[in-house]
Amino acid sequence: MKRLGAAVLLSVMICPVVALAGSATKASADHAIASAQTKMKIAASNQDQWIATVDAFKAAKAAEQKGDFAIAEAEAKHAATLADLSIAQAKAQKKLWQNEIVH
Amino acid sequence: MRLAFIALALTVSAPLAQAASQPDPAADMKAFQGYFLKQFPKLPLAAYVNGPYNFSKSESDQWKQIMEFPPYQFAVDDGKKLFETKFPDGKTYASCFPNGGIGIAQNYPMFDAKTGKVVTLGIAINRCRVANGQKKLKLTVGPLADISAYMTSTSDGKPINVVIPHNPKALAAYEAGKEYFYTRRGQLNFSCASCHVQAAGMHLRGDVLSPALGLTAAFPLYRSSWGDMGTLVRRFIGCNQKVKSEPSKPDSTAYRDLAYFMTYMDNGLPESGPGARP
Repeated sequence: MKRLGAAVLLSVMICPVVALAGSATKASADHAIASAQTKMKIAASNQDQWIATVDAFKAAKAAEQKGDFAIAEAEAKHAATLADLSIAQAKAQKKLWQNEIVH
Repeated sequence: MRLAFIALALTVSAPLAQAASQPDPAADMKAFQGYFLKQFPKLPLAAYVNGPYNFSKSESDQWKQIMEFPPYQFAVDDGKKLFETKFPDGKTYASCFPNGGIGIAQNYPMFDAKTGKVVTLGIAINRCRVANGQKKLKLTVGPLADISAYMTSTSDGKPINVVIPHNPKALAAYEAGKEYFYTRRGQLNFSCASCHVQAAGMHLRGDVLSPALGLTAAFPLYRSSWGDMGTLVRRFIGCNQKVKSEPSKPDSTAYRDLAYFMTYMDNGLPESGPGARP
């Protein structure tokens, strides 16, 4: 029973990766990279680019050059998500920073 | 009647609100220094230039031994040689600075009304090089740190005296530096203040977090963890990286403004650079 459970869990974990690998193309990877790049420009203009975002983006570009489009797309989406988070952080901090001032 | 009352209230409150939002660096500095003096009542103002050594006897003892042969002395000596070496046009760095560059480091960063930007000592050194047909040096390490170390050594003990002129661009630069200092950034969601105000004097693993007050006074400095000299900008870059944020460029407006704000907060404290830190 435990083995069956583990097998089900494993298949649930692997399925998205397999599905992603199957569906990714150069076009979809390039699209994801371009989308991440746009968000990263906004993050950089906020002086709040995360190191992990840049790392993920570099990994996406490297994978795209190697022809690993599934990895490229996944890494680019990861970079875009991180960029979104840093943009949200910077947006919130535009007001919140004043709470930290010593008076 | 009601309308008249609202109009009167608006007329009275608008200038008050405007005054409240106007930058007031002098009031900020008073509050900033006051905060630390209240936080650590046994620590005199001038002692803040000694950073983490105020909070750890063992580190303080080690530092006193280290200072018998200051690790930055080679940098000061090399910096003096470089400072006095003539450019191909026959001039030296002394030609670019008031008082020949001696005893003036405590006045930096300063606001340059012509460019509308803050100029740190490092940037002023590079400007001097460019004016004399030389390439810019790295703002973080190497010969520029050495020249800064020498120039700063000639200001030893002089009170830090950063001026923020009543110029809208200068005040904007100051405010931008202040905002940068208090803004959380990076994946770890830390601001400069998170460590150097809120956690000042506490331990982060084996290190003591220096209070922000007095922090700029010992730069450039020799850090044992670096194994060589570094400028304040090098420290900014390191702090950004520690909180998982991509650093800005060393000569970026962000770092210039941050240095302007932080050094202004140290006004009146004795210049103590170059320094040595763990």
